[in-house]
Amino acid sequence: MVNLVTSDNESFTVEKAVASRSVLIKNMLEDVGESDQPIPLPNVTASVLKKVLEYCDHHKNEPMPTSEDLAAEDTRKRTTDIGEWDQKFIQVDQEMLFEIILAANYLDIKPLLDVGCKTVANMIKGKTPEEIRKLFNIVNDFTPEEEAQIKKENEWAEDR
Amino acid sequence: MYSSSLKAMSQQVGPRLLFGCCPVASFRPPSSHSEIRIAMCFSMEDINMPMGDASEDQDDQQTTRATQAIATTPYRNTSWRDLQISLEKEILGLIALASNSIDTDANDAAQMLSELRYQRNLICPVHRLSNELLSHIFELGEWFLAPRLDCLPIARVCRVWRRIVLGTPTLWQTTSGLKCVAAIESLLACSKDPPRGIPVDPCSGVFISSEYALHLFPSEYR
Repeated sequence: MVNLVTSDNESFTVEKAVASRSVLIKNMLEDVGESDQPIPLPNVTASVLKKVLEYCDHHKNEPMPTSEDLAAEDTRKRTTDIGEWDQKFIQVDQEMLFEIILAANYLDIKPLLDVGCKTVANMIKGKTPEEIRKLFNIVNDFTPEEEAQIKKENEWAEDR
Repeated sequence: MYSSSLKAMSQQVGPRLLFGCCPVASFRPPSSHSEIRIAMCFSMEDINMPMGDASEDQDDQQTTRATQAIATTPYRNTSWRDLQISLEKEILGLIALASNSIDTDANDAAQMLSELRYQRNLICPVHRLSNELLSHIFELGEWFLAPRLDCLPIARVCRVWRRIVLGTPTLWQTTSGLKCVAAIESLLACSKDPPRGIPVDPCSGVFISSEYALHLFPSEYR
């Protein structure tokens, strides 16, 4: 078993197979060897780690992606299909979604990072700039010069 | 009415612009480089009225004082017609100056507003994701398959996203996305120093800068 300590000082004891879905933790365990020392995760809060561990637990028996898998994934990276379980798992509010992506990136859990990024890509897909702004609570911050340039682009598009 | 107008004008604009009996509205733009006061809404017909008309009103001391002020101006030896032309030019010059000043202020305000909105966007939850992560997310989209310039809606969301799109050549580095080259060139046109153009498609007259041609066609332009 592995003991993980979050940024808000909460401890999680999990199977090594679960924790090792994170390449960061896996490498740490390999470097430290057999030890009861808790592993600090200063960039992850308890609520987010709980969610991440849920994902790792569900996928613990799957083979870890090899470098060949990652290269193949690169060629079809634009596929935004997400598995059924993963889709349900990632149905969280935006704040949590971004936190999961950040945690997956930090912990180096490539499949989880992909699920998060694909989810955001799917949210954006097919939307107009205004719809995207509304979705992410972004405001139009272009200068008048940039606005004029954008207008020019649109005119160009309409001419084609 | 006559005396009150003159009094108001003498207080507002001083003797050099004091003449006629038109209503006065003073304009004072807010910034430091807009320190111009102009007597506006001024009727040129009123200028033709002889100075004596005002001074003859012996009961109105205010008017007399104002008229005396005019008599001490540099225009005292000038004919009324010359004075009219001269003052007309001066007024038009001041209006042009005020217009420029207002335009400058409006532009400064727009830039400041844009900067404030940019700062506000930076604290949005989605911008907790690094540029690299957002770039990766954008690459997962299929915008590049669209045949038109508006295939890049993500470049029109905000300044942060626009910069990320420009910094992610893979978004345009596809055959089907070639038509987006003009879009990218259009985006790049914002840069202050127009880069040297390299024809991408001579038939369509589309040009792309050498800097980005390196990203798009590394084997041809390296």
